Amino acid sequence: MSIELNHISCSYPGGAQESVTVFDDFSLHIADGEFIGIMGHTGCGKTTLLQLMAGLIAPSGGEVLINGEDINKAGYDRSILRRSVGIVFQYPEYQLFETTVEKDVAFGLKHSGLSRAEVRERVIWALTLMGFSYENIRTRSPLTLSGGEKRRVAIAGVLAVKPDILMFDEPIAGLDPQNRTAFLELAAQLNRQGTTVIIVSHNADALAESVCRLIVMDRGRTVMDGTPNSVFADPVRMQELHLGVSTPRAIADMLAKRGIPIAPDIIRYEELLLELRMNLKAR
Amino acid sequence: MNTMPSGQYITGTSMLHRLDARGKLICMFVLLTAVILTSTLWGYIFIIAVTAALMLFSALPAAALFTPLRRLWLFFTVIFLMNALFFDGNAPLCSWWIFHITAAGLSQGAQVVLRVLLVVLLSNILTCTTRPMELTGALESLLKPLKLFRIPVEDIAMILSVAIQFIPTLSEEADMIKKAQTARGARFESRRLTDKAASVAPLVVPIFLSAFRRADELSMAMEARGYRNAGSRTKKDRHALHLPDYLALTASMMICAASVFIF
Repeated sequence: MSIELNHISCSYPGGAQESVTVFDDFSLHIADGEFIGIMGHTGCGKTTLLQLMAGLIAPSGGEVLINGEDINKAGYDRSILRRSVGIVFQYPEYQLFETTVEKDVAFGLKHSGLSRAEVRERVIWALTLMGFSYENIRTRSPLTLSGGEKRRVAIAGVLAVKPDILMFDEPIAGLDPQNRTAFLELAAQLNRQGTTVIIVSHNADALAESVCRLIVMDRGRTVMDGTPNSVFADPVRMQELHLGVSTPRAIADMLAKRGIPIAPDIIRYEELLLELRMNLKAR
Repeated sequence: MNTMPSGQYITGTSMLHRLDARGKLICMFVLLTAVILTSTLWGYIFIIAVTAALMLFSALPAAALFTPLRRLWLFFTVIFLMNALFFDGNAPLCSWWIFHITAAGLSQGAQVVLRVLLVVLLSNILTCTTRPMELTGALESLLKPLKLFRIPVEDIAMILSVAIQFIPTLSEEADMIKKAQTARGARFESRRLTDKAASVAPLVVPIFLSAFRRADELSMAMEARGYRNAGSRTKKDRHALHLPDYLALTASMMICAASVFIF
């Protein structure tokens, strides 16, 4: 499903204090099936952007189109939106509330009209995808799980709905390396199956390894938008935005300073290795 | 956050902001006494004028003071009607079944509404111009005499101040949890009773859990930093009452006396 934000303006009411403007005339188009990373300094509006796209907050101006339909128009069926857009917030483990893992994962399917067998199938699918054995975990209370397990159960709860668009807000912050790799593989797999995936993260390495399009935001505006290779090719600009580039890119820059030229669009370890090998051969 | 909690401290440098919290707290109680003891028209006009003057002195945006009143409209209506319809009095203006509308009833209803209104406004002025921390500190020092009766005033003050400090954090977290559950298909917006009932657990359970988790973490952090409830604690800021504070106290006493004895 495609997402289109046209001339969005959005501000948080500050009560008696001055309100804070997050977006003013912001536009963004995301095509069906894209794999997108969003980077930006804290407070640049990343989370607000996700919430706008998920229809959790309404813009004060402009329109949000999901699959060509204005989701804030009167008469729009919100339940369609809930089924087509899944969002995993920064600490998804805090949203668990049911008495068993199975019930919690099935929560989003309550109003889906699926039969019990179908719901069960979805729950098995989602839990297996998140690396659980359904039989072992289904009757456990979410509260007895470890932090990492809770997070995976919560993500399973979002996946079970099989949304066409999946958004993750800082999904890998605080994950151990193994879980991080597993998560990125999962996101890539879902994207290959046709899901539009959007990941908000500060982790340049993870984004470099996974996404196809990287959007860099600063104070409510898109300042860079392109392949990760083209975005990370400008480390100076990234520094100005208080953001880092991927580690391989940083290594490449260090090598370049020591007289080993490496193409500016090298951002992944594989690419760096290949380039170095070519360099050696050329000598 | 769509709704800002009302009555929250608003940064400012007005005369009222600068007064000592202890003084302000006493002034407020004195003024509240005046509100309750007054019963004449001129008395009310006088106190309304005083309240209006305080609002001006506080330099607060009117919205901050009046929004909480808007939420109370139902309460005001019910109070007024209860008094107006059921007040026992002679010479009803009109009667129907068990309802008798009397002039005394109407006036009684109007007075009660006006009093509650003034109480809410005055306490709003206090909480909007005083930091919660200052307020609990003031409460602690004013309640100190209760220690004679073995009431743990300091602990109570600490509990209060911690609770107040965590309100913004918890309300932010509640907002996030609400959004997360909405995205998963919880129907908070629905007006249907079954949906409303079904959407209680997804919201309340995580909020409770997070409140307990935060309390746990905080108690550990406090212990790690050597907090003990034994012995008396010293204060980071010690303030003496200054001339303006005494003036404010005198003024509010005079206002109270005037509203009771003159009007």
